[in-house]
Amino acid sequence: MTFGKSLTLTEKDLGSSRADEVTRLDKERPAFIEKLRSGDENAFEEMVMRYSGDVYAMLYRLTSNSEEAADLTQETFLKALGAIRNFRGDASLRTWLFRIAINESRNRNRWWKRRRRDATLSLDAAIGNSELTVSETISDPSETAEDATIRRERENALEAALLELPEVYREAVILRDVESLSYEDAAAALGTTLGTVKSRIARGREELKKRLKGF
Amino acid sequence: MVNDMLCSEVQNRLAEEDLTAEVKAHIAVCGVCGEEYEVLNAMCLELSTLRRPAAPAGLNMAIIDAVRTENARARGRIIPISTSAREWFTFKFFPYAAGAIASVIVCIALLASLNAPPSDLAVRNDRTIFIPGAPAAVDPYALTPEEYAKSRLLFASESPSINPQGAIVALSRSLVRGEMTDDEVVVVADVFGNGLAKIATIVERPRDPGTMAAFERAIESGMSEAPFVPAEMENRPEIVRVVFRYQQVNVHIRQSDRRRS
Repeated sequence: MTFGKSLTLTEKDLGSSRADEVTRLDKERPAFIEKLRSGDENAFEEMVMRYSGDVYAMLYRLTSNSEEAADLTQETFLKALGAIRNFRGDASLRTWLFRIAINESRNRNRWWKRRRRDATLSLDAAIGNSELTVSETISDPSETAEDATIRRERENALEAALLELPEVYREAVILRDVESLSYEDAAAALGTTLGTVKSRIARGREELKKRLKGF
Repeated sequence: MVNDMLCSEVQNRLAEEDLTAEVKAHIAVCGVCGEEYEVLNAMCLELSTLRRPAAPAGLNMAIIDAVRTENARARGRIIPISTSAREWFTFKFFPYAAGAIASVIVCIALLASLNAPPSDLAVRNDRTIFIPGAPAAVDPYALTPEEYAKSRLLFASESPSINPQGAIVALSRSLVRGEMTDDEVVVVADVFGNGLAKIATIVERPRDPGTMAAFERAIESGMSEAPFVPAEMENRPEIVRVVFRYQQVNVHIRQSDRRRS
C-alpha cells in the first residue's frame, strides 16, 4: 500500500515556499522596514501592492464574501498605517498583516453577530469565487472537461466545509494549510501559543475530514 | 504486525503535524489507518492548491487612496490621536452621542414644559383631571404643538419636539397621580415626519414590565395622540433616529409640604 507521506512533505515544502520567500524578502530588506516605520508613503504603497492580494485571499477564505473581504483588506492596511511605527519585525510583514486582518475579521464578525446577520444565509450566495484565476487559466491542458467539473465540485465542497468550521479552527487551518504559514507564524498571526495553534489545526483538519466524508 | 496502539487512538492523532514514531510504525502496517492517513494528506494537499481568490480590480488603488487621505488628514491634525482612538470615537461615540444629546434635550424640554410657571399651573391644576390613556387634546390648558415646536426650532433638526398634547406627555402626567417607583426605559426610535414613532431597539428595559408596555403604547400611538410634533412644524428631516430615555422618579414629599400645598 502506498501512503501519502512523501507527497505531503513535498507539498508542504512547496506550499511554504511562498511564505518563506516573503519572510526572506522582508528580512533582506531592513531598510525597507525602516522606511515603513519612518512613515515613508512610497514604501507603504509598495507594501500595499505587494501584500494586498495575500491579505484579500486570506480574508476571502475567512468570510466567503468578496465585498466584505475587500473592505476588510482596506481596513487592515489603514490599521497597519497607524501601527507601523510599532512594528518590531519579530514576524514577517505578511504575518503581521495577517494578524491585523484576522483581528479586523473577528471584530466584524462580532459586529454582524450582534446584528444577527448569521441567522440568515442567502440562497444566492455563491460558494467559492466565480472569477477566473491564474491557476484556472493555466490549468493542466490534459485535464478533460469531466475532470475539471469533478475538481471544481470537490473544491466547492472543500470551501463550503471550511466555512462550516468553527471560527478558531477555520482560521488556523487557513493559515497553515491554505496560506502555508509555518506553525510559529500561524501562532503569531493568531496571537496564541504554538501548542494551541497545533491543537486547533489538528482539530480543524479532523472536523474538515468528517464533513467531507462521502465526497 | 500492528503495534500495541489502538486504531482509534492512532486515528485521533493522524491530523497532528509531528507524528510520533509509534504512530508512524502503526500506519506503516495497518491498512485502515494508512488509508485514513492518505485521505487526510490528500485533503491537506487540496487545501494548499485551492484556487486563489483574485482581488477585485481597483482594490489596490482604493487602498492607496484611502491611505493618502488618512495621511493628509493626519498631517492636518493639530492634536495627535491614535488611529484606534479615532476609530472608536468615529464609529462608537458619535452616532450615540448625537442621539444621546438629542434625547437629553428632549427630556429637559419635556421636564421644562411639565414644570411650567407655578402661578399659571397653580390655577390650572385645581381643575385639571388627567385620565390615563385618554387623548391629551382634552386638556384645554396645555401648550399647543405649534407653540412648543416654535420654542425649540434651534435643536429640532436633531431632536424632535415632544407633542405636548401627545401620548407620551399624557403618560407622564397620568403617572403623577398614581403610586410610582423609580424606573427607566432607554430605546432607540425612529421619529417620522407625521409625528409618529417606532421603536427600533430597546436598549434598556425597565424593571416593571407594565412600565414598558405603557411606554410602548405611548410612543407608538396613532395619529390622534402622535408622540412628537409633525416635521413641518419645526423643519426637521422626515425621519430622525433618536435615543430616547424615559425616567420616572418617585419624589417623596414630606407631609408638612403636602399639607402646605
